[in-house]
Amino acid sequence: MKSKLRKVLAGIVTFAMLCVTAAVPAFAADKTDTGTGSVTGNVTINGSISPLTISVTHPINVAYAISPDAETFTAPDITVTNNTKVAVIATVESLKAASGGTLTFTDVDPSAKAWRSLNLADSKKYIALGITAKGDSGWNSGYSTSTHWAVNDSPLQVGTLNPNISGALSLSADYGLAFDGAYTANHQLVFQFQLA
Amino acid sequence: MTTEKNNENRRGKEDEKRKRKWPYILAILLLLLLLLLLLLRSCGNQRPYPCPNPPPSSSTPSSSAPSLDDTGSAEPGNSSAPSRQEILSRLQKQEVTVTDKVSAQASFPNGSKGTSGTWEVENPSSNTVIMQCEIVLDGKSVAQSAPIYPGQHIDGLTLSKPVSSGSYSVTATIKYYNKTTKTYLGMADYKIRLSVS
Repeated sequence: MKSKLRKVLAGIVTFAMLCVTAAVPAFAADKTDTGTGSVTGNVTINGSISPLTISVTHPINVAYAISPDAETFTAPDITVTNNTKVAVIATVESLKAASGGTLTFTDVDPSAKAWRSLNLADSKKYIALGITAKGDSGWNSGYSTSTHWAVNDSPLQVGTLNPNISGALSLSADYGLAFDGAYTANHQLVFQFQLA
Repeated sequence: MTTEKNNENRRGKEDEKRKRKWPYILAILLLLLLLLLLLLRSCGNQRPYPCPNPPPSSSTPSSSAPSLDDTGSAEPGNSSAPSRQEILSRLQKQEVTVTDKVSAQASFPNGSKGTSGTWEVENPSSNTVIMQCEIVLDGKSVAQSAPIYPGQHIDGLTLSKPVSSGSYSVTATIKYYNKTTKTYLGMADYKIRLSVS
């Protein structure tokens, strides 16, 4: 009976010792400040900050239609939505004629041609395509009202969008009318987004 | 008596002459008939004068007045072009919109080629395109991700070129590809920070 009691006591003591030993490292960073009168203790606070996720919803292709008889250029608005927790800056990095359609246009300046006088060959060759931010569509004040023409290589910083706000851009064009069939043509639009 | 004989002889000679002329007349008539036939046949290709009997109409042009093929029916009223709203609706259907989720920083424990770093990019399941990302430093690609299908994400990527330690403002380019055909659709750039310890 005594030996059993001894064994139980030894187990309790061993368990207590182990608990104390395991608990020691947890208090290793603690520092005891001693002194007389007022004692100053410095505490370092370590912060860990994760990078923010930039999230934007935007189109990756843009379609337009030219109706020569009606002399109209039709293109839907290009909508960009900022899903990020903070404001982002949107820039049109490039807008360029691209292959892949039945026609591959050459981008020119809108003043470079007498558009309504273009013949069949030149109508199928030249276009002046531009993109402009639409007013009252969510862009913060100070947004660019100028048109970025595809012929220009320099990027255009469009403006800033607040969180959960959409901004719109519209396409405009100068073009010929002499088309002898139904054609398709592509332009590639590249946006750049960054935290404001 | 002699005059009667002479008259008889003359008549006989005239009869003989007439008999000799008949084949020539027949030959001339035949030639004329042949010429007439040739003329009629050539009517289909020439238009100097109207043909008496026009050939039946065919796909080849003829000098005859065209006859109306009065089968089928056309739409009533003026022809109408599609409205602006109809064109816009068609164009909007062609538009592909994506949502990007890109971490604002990529970090690597060192700048050696082959070093794995952390960078999070998500291709939400609502997207219909495949994404492939790369980090471009001074115009050169230094790291490229695996293809990210809709509903997938990456947590990191590997340096394909050595980069000196430091903190850089770099361009993260996302290229978009068609999910079925794997053809290139477009791209977007994000300005992020590249941190190399």
